[in-house]
Amino acid sequence: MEKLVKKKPLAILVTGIGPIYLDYSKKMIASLLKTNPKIETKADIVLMTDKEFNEMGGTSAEMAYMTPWFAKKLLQDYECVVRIDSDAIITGDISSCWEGDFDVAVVQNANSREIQSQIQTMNRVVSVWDIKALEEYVNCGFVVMKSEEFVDHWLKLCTPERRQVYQFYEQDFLNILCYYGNYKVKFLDKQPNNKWWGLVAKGYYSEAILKDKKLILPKNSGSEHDPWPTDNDKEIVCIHFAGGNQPGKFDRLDNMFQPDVLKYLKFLINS
Amino acid sequence: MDKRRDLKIIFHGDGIWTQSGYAVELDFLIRRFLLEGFQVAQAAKAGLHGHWIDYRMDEGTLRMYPMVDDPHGADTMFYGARNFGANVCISMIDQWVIPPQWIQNLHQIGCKFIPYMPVDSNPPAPGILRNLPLADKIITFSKFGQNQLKKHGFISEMIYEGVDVNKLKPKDKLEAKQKAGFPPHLFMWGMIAANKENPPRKSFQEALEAFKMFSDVHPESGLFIGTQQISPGSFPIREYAQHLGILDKMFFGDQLFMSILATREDIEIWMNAFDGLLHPSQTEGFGLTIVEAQACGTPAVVTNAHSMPELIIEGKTGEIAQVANRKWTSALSFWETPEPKSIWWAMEKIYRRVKEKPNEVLIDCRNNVVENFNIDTIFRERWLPLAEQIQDEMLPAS
Repeated sequence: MEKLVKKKPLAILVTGIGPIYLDYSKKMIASLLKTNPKIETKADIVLMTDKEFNEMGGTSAEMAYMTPWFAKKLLQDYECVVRIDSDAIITGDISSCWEGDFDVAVVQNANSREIQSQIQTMNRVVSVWDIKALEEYVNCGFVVMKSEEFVDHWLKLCTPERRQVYQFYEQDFLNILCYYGNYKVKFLDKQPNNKWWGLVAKGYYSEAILKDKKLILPKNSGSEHDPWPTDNDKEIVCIHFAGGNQPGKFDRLDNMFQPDVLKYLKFLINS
Repeated sequence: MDKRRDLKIIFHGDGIWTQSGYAVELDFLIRRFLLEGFQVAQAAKAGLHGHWIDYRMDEGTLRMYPMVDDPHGADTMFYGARNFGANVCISMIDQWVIPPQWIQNLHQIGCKFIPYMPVDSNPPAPGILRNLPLADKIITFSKFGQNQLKKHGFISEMIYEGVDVNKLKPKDKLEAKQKAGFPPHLFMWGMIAANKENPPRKSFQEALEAFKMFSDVHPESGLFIGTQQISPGSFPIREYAQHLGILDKMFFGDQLFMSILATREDIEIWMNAFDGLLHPSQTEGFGLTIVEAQACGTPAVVTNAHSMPELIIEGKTGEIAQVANRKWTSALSFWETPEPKSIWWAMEKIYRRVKEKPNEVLIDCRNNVVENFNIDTIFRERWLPLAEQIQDEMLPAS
């Protein structure tokens, strides 16, 4: 039966499960509100903490695939769900991420420097099947979902048996669906607006600059051996720390960012 | 003392009496922090075995911890910090030698980790970048290093190494030559450097070839080489000098003396006895002898690579030899081999300048060090505020 109540347009899904990630999520939301001051007129910011997770019947199994699990519930009430990992700082206008006709919008997981880091730390690169680690594999930390069918399919893949086989689990399945499912996929980092949305800039933040209140990674940052980006200056709209479940991800920003950028980021994350 | 001195600092690196470049610098810093009233310990990578000691100096008492199992004292860094109750560990060592788990262990006991580190290649060897995400602050020795780290994702502070300009200063050159055992009429070049591998990082082969060219033009010249660190498989300096036919112009420091008996006073004698220092190294995170020589008024030849050019004023306090080729090493970075003819030409320019304007060269060299590499200024303007800032962050006044 067709639902009678009209869906609301947009939800920003943030999870703050456990005290460390609850703290991260507050910082991330503070940065989101400062860089997108009108966002609350367009979207509901939905913070899912331990309380909501438990009330919704979440168990340790669902912890491993929270993005589709929460998104499934939110898409009953919203046309679009933007999932942003809490270990992130929003540094620019993100409104373009939900614009357009697509089932899911995703962000890149790595750049060549990050690939080298993966090899050093894990003796492998993060990928699944034949999806290319550098150019193709996407990250689960910033996902925009409009299609219930897509989310249902994603959830269906997240079975306990597959957890033994797919190391990055929900992220691996997100990739499989993006490249082998029959869905309209928008790759946010590859849009003509020259915005970058997360890990695509990881390892190059030390050369980011503030220009007209935007965080810019100039063309050919990095060394002569691994310049990045190679086509145009990029506006970084999201800094995603990633790297697993660790405390203190916001503690060493002064080793990563130039002083004026650091000051700006500290302003953004302070509530 | 009315200044708050609650911060407990442990320095990790060569034991302060071991006379390596790092030991000299750590000695400078530790004594000054003690004099300022801080509680200071050292995790001694070398120079102490078997048991901790309280080493009493005029400036205060230094708690020192010996090596345990790790050859570079990474475990000592942790055990020492834990025993001493250190708030911060400042590690002055090549960062690739530290297994990251020891840094994580430091964090577990609430001790911050700050590498005071050399960057000695372009690109930096991956090993030296590995630990930096774990650092609470990063300090580099040179603008070169700072720039390299920035290009590779890390923001650091730059604090030059320094020398004690009150102890290391120009003396009568003839008297110094006499003390060093050099004939007073010879124009003396000097190299004081480690000889731990072949091909040699310090470019002994290229330096000898350059000196051969120089001495062919200027027979009244000599070259002193002192190697304080040697290893099996090092470059056969004497034999190559013999091969080139310049052995009769060479002077060598007695190996036992150079390795374990030489002191800061001997350095002062040599640096004053040299008319020019040869330091055409292939890789360098800083190059302390370049600064030590200038402190005594002696100009230096350096390689156009890494930190070296920024330590001299080209055309005044030194000359820069150009790189002939780059060698890719097993550390996954380049060594920059200088061109012997370019070293020779740099030597010629220094020779002419020293002969024509000896006092001007001496004053320029001395001023460069007093203005830029004076450890007292560096400590007062950089290290002390840094320690007080860390203290305020970690141990706010109640």
